[in-house]
Amino acid sequence: MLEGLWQLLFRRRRHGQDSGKTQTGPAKEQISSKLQVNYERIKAAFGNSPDLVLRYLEAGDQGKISALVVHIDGLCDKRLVSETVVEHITDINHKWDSPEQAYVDLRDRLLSVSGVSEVNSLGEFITHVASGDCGVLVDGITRGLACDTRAWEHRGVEEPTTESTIRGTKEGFVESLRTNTSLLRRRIRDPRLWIEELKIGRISKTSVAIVYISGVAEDKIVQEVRNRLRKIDVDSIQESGHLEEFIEDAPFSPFPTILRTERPDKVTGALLEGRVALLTDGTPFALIVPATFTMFITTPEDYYERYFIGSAIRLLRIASFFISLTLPSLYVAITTFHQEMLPTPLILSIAAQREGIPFPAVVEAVIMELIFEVLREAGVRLPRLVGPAVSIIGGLVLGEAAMRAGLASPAMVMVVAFTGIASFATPVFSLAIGVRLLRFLLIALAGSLGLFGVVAGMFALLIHQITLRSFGVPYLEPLAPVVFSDLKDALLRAPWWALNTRPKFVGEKEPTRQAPGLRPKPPSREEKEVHHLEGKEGGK
Amino acid sequence: MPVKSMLKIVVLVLLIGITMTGCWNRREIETLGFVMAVGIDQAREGGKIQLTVHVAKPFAVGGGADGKGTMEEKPFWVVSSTGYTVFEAVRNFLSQSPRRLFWGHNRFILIGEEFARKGVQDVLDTFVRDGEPRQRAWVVVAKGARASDLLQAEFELERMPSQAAMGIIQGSRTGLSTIGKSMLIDFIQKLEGEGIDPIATRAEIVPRPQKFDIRGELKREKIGASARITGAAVFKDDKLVGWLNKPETRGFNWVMGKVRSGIIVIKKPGEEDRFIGLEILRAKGGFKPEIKDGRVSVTVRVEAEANVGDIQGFLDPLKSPGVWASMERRMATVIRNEVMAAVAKAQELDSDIFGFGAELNRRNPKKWAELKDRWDEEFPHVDVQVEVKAKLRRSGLVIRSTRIKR
Repeated sequence: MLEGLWQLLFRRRRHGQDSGKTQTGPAKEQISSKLQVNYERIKAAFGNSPDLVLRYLEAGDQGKISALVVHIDGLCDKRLVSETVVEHITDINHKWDSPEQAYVDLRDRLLSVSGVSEVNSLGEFITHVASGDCGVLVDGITRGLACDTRAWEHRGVEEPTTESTIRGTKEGFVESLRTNTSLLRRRIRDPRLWIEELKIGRISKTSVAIVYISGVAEDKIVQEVRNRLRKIDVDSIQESGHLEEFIEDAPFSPFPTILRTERPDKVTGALLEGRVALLTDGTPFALIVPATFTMFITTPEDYYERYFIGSAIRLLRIASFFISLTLPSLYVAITTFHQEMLPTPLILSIAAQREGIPFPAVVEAVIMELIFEVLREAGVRLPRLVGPAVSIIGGLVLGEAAMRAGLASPAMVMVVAFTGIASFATPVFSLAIGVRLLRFLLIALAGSLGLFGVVAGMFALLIHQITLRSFGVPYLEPLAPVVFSDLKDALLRAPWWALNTRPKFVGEKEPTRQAPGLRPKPPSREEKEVHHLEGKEGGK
Repeated sequence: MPVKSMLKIVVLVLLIGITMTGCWNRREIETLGFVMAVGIDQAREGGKIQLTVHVAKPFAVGGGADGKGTMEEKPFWVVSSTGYTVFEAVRNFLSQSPRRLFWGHNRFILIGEEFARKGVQDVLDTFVRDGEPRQRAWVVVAKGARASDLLQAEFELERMPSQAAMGIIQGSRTGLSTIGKSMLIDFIQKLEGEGIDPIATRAEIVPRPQKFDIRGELKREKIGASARITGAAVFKDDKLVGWLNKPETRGFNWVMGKVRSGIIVIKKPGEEDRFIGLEILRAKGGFKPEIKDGRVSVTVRVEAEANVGDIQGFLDPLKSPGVWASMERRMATVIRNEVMAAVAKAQELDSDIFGFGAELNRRNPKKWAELKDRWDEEFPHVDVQVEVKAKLRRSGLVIRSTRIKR
């Protein structure tokens, strides 16, 4: 039965039309023909909340027809309500003989807002009101009108704080879904940018938009996204991370299989590759599916800087990913198991530093890593003004003191610090967190089995990654399985004029992105002659 | 289901991790004594082997930035131990050393001359058998001394003698070509090889009596003795039988094609009391054994190129055209003499350090099968022909020498 309800919910509209199922009260009730009854029911549904505004109006010239205007204070534009709704209802110039006439007149002509929709049940009506619409009921009519007067306080479009770039757009998503879709529409001005919206959450009724480019995105993937979203039956969705956990492929994996981003350019890039974006109302973080591993070490900047610089920084980022994952464990393994692997002066230097340190290297590593993690966590949570103080106390005092007190060797402090910095080079936070946890696992393996343990751990991770799928797309694509045509934009980024095709698996429907042969080159002899002639003619 | 099996694997891995902790070779770095060099001698008490090792003192190396290491303290500790076998002697160190000796960084196996003459096979075994020591340690014989005495030697510029010795070996190989490659792995391979005998590096102790002080400010304790690399030690099977001096060692390297660089000094054509120094640029070398009328003869071919490094007195090659060719001829003569000296010494000691026999085996296994039993008698009588192609390339930044105006 619930399935049927979702089916009902699921219609592609600009605005969600239907309510979810509310547990009690007027959900399935029809709108009564008696205005008084409706009034009481609405009032009861909101439990006398003070922000609910209900007003009886006498409509038309004769005052025989009464109407009810309902809206929630703070969710809609009051001026709009009075100018476009109330004024027209109460205008004494209207000559209405019957409620029916008044209703039709209002619906089709008078309510001068762009979005007016008709609702049939009281539950639906209430949902509209709860989302910020202004509802109008006319006495004697068992249908209601919902006018789009939504307007509420929200943050303006600002530079994304978690993903900043030097070059590229400074716009980031905001909490308002409509603003976010407009940011996307402004970048893709084509009707094929389709937005499907649905409400998730029995109580919160959060709007979630599925965005894709029709004809580019794979139908199967879009359908899969719809199916997974439909299955969600929770009381509320607060953040896209909340949503992510219900639809991800591998809930127990340390690796995220859904990419989240604050940047509209990243989303449009993914949409143009044939991927699907999910926007959730109330959070600036959009989700992109299917996500592959290489997308997590990619930033928009790779595509804005010239290609060899983009490729170089991407390689650097891959290196720092591996450093942040393995460096402490390699250090522990080599210094406690494989002393023969380091050059003699280096091993003597490390040995000198470890003189008098009471802990085994593995314990030392875990302690230092823990201190670092605590520092980082504290740094994130603290008010901005106190932040520098923490970094001074933590970084300078603790690190220096630990060394002076003989609790940690300088080499270990350096390893931990470098690891920490390298982990900041991972552009997507959700991957970086996963790596943070895995690092401890690898340190434990290194401390117990040496390099053998580290290698075994890395193999386990690799095998695990290979088994992962994100909405049907192999996680390590194009590295495993190898897709040659997609290697152009995996570890390296080929120049734009060589990025001719969309990725396999997601962009097969319309594989070609651009005309071939766009590489800039000096004009040929014929072209030169043409220009020459044109120039002469222009001179005349 | 996959979750369950994943969980099983994780639990298994963790279990292995827990049970294996502290097992076999997890050793904290500060509990190890890093052996930098080992010397092997006959112990004074009968029948035993004496091992002397250099153990690095990390805190005295001065690695940390906080300057824990003091420059006065020697960064190494020389300690001896005895045993009937090398392995036993190594283990016996534990009664004197608070740290377990770690052999992964050992770079030198020094052998006293007296011991080397008796045969080294017995003592090298453990260095090959055990997993820890490196196969790339250099085998060095102390000429006229015990290995333990050689280990007392110290060097200027480097505080760690083994580091210093590595520098000297590097220099001798690439700049002088007066050292034959004789790492443990080479030594063992040649010992096993048919028709080839091993060489080792020859080192001598240099007493340093001159104790000059620069205004008495020399903080570091005086160096009592130093050491020098002076060629190669020639083995017959595993026994030391003689020595090659430096020119002879370079002769050996010419034959083996291992000359990298070096200076060839020739007399100046037309002015025999003056000299010309030539720097070897490139060299190729090789030999080809043949059997003619039942007798073995070997043709050694050497090609060398050199630049003029210095000329004493005045010389203008452009004005005296024959002189360039004359210099090349003299260079070839020097090379030939060095090769012949090495060959003569090897034949005198009856040790086939070049591997003439091994090469013959490769080229003509049947004949070798007949020869190999009497190769010891045959080798000293092998007829060696030397063909040298010497080429002089450039004359440096100037063509003619500085002319002194009078």
